[in-house]
Amino acid sequence: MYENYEYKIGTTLEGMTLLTELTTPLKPPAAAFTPSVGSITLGDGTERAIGSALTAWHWGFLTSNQRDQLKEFCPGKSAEVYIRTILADGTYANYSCVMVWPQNENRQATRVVDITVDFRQMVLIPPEEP
Amino acid sequence: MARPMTEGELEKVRRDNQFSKLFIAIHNPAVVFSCRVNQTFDSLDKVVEVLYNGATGDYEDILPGMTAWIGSSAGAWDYGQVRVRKSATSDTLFVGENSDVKWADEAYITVVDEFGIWPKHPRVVSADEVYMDYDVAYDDQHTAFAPVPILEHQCLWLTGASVSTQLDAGDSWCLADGEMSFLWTASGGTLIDEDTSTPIFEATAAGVYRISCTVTVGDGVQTGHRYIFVYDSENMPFLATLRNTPSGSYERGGWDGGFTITDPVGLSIVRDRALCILFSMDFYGSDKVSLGPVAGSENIIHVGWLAGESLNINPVRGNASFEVWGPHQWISTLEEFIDGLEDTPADPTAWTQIKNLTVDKCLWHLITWRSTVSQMMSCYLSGDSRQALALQSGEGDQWSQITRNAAAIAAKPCCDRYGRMFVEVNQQLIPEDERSSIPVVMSITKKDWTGSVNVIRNPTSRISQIVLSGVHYETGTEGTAYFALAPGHVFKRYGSTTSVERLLLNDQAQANSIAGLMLGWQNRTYDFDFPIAANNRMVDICPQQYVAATIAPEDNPRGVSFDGRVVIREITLDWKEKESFMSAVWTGEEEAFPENSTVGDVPGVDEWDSSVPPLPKLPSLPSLPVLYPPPNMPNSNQPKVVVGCGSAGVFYTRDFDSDSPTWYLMNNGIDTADRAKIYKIIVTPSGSIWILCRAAFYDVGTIYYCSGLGGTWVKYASGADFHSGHGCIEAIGYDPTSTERIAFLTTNTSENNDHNSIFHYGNSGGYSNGSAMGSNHDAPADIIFWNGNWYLAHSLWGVFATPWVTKFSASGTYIDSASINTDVGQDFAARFMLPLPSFIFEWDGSGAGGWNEISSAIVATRFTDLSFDPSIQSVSFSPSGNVALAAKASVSIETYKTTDGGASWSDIASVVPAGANVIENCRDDFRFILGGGATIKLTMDAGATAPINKVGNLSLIAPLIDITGIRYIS
Repeated sequence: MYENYEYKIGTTLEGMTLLTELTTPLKPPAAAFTPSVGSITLGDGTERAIGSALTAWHWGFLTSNQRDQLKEFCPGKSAEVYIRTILADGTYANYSCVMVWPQNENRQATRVVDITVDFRQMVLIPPEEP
Repeated sequence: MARPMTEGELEKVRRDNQFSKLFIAIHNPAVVFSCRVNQTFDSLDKVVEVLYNGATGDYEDILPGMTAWIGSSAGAWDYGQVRVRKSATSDTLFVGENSDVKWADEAYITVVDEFGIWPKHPRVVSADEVYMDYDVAYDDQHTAFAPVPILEHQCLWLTGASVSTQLDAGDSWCLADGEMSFLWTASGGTLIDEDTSTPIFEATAAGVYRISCTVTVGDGVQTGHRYIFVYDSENMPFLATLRNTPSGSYERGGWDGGFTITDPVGLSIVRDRALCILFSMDFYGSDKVSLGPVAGSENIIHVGWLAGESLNINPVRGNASFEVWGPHQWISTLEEFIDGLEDTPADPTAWTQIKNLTVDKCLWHLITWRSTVSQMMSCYLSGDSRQALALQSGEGDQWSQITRNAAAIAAKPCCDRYGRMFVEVNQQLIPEDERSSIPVVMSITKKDWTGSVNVIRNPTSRISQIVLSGVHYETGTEGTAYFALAPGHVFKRYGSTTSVERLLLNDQAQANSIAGLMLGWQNRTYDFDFPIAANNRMVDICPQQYVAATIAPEDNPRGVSFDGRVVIREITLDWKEKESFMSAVWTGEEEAFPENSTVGDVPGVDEWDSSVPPLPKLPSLPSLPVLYPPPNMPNSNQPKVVVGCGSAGVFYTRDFDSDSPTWYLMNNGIDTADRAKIYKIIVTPSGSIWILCRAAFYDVGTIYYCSGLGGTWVKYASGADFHSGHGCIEAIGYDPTSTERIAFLTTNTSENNDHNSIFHYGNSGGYSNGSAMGSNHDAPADIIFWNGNWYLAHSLWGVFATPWVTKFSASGTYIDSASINTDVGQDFAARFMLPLPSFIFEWDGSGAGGWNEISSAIVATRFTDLSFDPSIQSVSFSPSGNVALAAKASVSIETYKTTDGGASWSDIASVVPAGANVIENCRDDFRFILGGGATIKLTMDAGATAPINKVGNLSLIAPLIDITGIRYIS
């Protein structure tokens, strides 16, 4: 059903697992990728992206088990993780980054609704040569 | 050293997605040894060693330079901090001389593994007994120069089983020739190839590791200490928020900054003045790498020590903000005693001497023997070989002393981001053809800056003329002065005149070159601000380096173009918190090029021939009566300007009234051999100073004069100039009623006949011969001017000579003479006189002792109740002739006093310490200066109370001096 999605997460690059293949599978999130935090204008009029790329994974809701599954990767407020996420052009890439757990969780019954997990300081891990 | 950026580095700083994580490493030093004070203290002043007991740890682990905390509880420093100055014993800790620590019995002492910036004070016991750092006597430290180790701090991340790094002390240097060897130690971890300059250090656990590198060249040894901070995910450094982003300034001399820590964990261990290192984890796109000019330390942004602190207290989340000073600021706080070094042609025998003295040697002495600077930070000196006769910068903080000494070669100290000190010649003052070795770090393109480049154009000259002077000196020579003007004798149209003095120069060409370069630098057209669009930390305010820049006319509304090199003088790092992006603003000045220059004028000498025909001989003006001050009243003002002489030559001060006068040597122009035998010094009313150099007996004798304090001496007359090369100069005197009139006596050493001596009189413009007369050939005589005539006291005829006084007119014509023989044994001897209101006071060096009152008719009345030291200034009367202090002829040389014109004398040895055989009255009945050996004192009440010590720095600039003359000037 989700074979076209490649979202992964792990505490190591090699240990990244498709969200759908986690012990408690997660549905692919809605992802918002930002190539950089900001930009500056250079002397020749061109722009330079400054700061790291950002992305946010959003779910309309996660079950308690799914939420706990995701929380394992970020036991505290933030944690260094590896993710594979979608880019603005629809392709996927691997990053090391800091996962930031949301400040507030809106729990309704056995679900957490409208949950967004931020990923900062994303450093692209270039694909290995074939 | 600075280097050009590689293509790979340039590509990285022009990438997208640059960001950084900032961390602060704060040194919380390990405890090496702890104990408790085991003694009481009569005084807390000048404490240098402390008995201890209750030790924990091995006292042999204590290294010189480590820090000891003194406190009311274990590990506390509330009583103070001191430096360990040498290895401890089983019951004694030796600390840097201190007066600020609240030492107390049973106080806690904690010696920690920290090496800070501390002063080392000299201790002057006497002229012959000077120590550095309290008890280090001079041996061969200024010949077997201690090397200066060069090594840097590092901050590492342990991400696997181990982390390793290559250390590098290859830039270590030594002023002495010889093979350099290295031996490294570490407080933990593993060292590989520790006997090379580039060992490998490996750590398998997080922690702070001290690395020490002992560098040896011949008998010179010094150990440098730095720290490697190793962190891992369990042992993280503080995360920092920059409060004042680090900024560096060539003018200020280094870098400063500030940061805020909000994480309360561990904040309580942050200690005052702790070493702290701002470092980063940098990303250039997908590359995690740091770029910097120092291999192994590229991730270090700024090295400093905590200076100030402010706490933000609120109920939600407090924080602490810290101010961080670079080493230049800390060295600026090291208040030092006066420094002074003299060149010596032979191997030095004192702390104040260095053979073939250069600025580098002087600075090395300061950073090695007057502070711990060369032990705990990397220092690079100029490499300049210009010699100096003497270098002294006065008292003050050590940074000022370094700056003032470096200025002699147009150099300046500056510290880079890593806390390395470079004393380099201002690169704008380096001749064009010698700039090729200065690297161009990068060429700034439009891809390298953001916002707008500010160009400050200076179309109007700020300096209209540089007037430059300096000397070329080589050991054993008298030195040559050079003067230069830029652009020339005519000013530029606009700007002020600047005088640059006291440079050390190789030759006239260099004087002209520097003058032209200075004018070109001061009047450069462009200054720039470049807001750099990258995390580029390859450029710094030192060491010497350029960046290249191009500004096209079409890029600005004024059509200004520039294509050249820029010297960066200020850098301010900018931190964008949200983007985690560090960038910089570089402020610089365009590379300067020389303007015109020419040979300058010797002061007081016109360019054109201003000589006029000699004047016809004019009749002599009538002699003025000797004017004495009115009856004296106590003068509460201490003398201010005093000149003296002794075995080290002539010295003077303009602040004799200060607690610690600053003395200066003024020997330029005096032959080295003559400096050590100044027999008499006189100062004429014009201010010109005259010295007769001769051994007490049997010497040729040379007269020098100079126009005033600090001037260059001119050789006026030598005994060898007279009597067909067989002459000697026996005596000199001056007329206090004339602006400048002196007299001297030459005698013929080849015969003892009558008319073998000639009386001479003149001024600095020359002298004339007076009458010939008889005198023994080389016993020192004396000349005074009294009641309108010259009086000569001398020995007449042969070995069994007769004491004699001869009177001459003001123009040197013989008037009268008579024997003053009043006792047996007064034959061949040195004679001394003083003009008093109603008689001449005369004594001699014969064995007969006593003294004479001599009338204008040359009738001597002898007194034998006291004999005086056989030297030219052993007696000095006040102008009233009533009060005098005198040195008794005895082994211990006690001081005696008269208040009735010599009718009676009283021993004041209980108040005035013995040994003063040079006495100078200061023109009233109360103030006398007393000298002897290396001691100089002032009494304001004619010895009624103990005199005031006025040695000041004299023992440093002339440590072995034996004072032979003192003259009060004003």
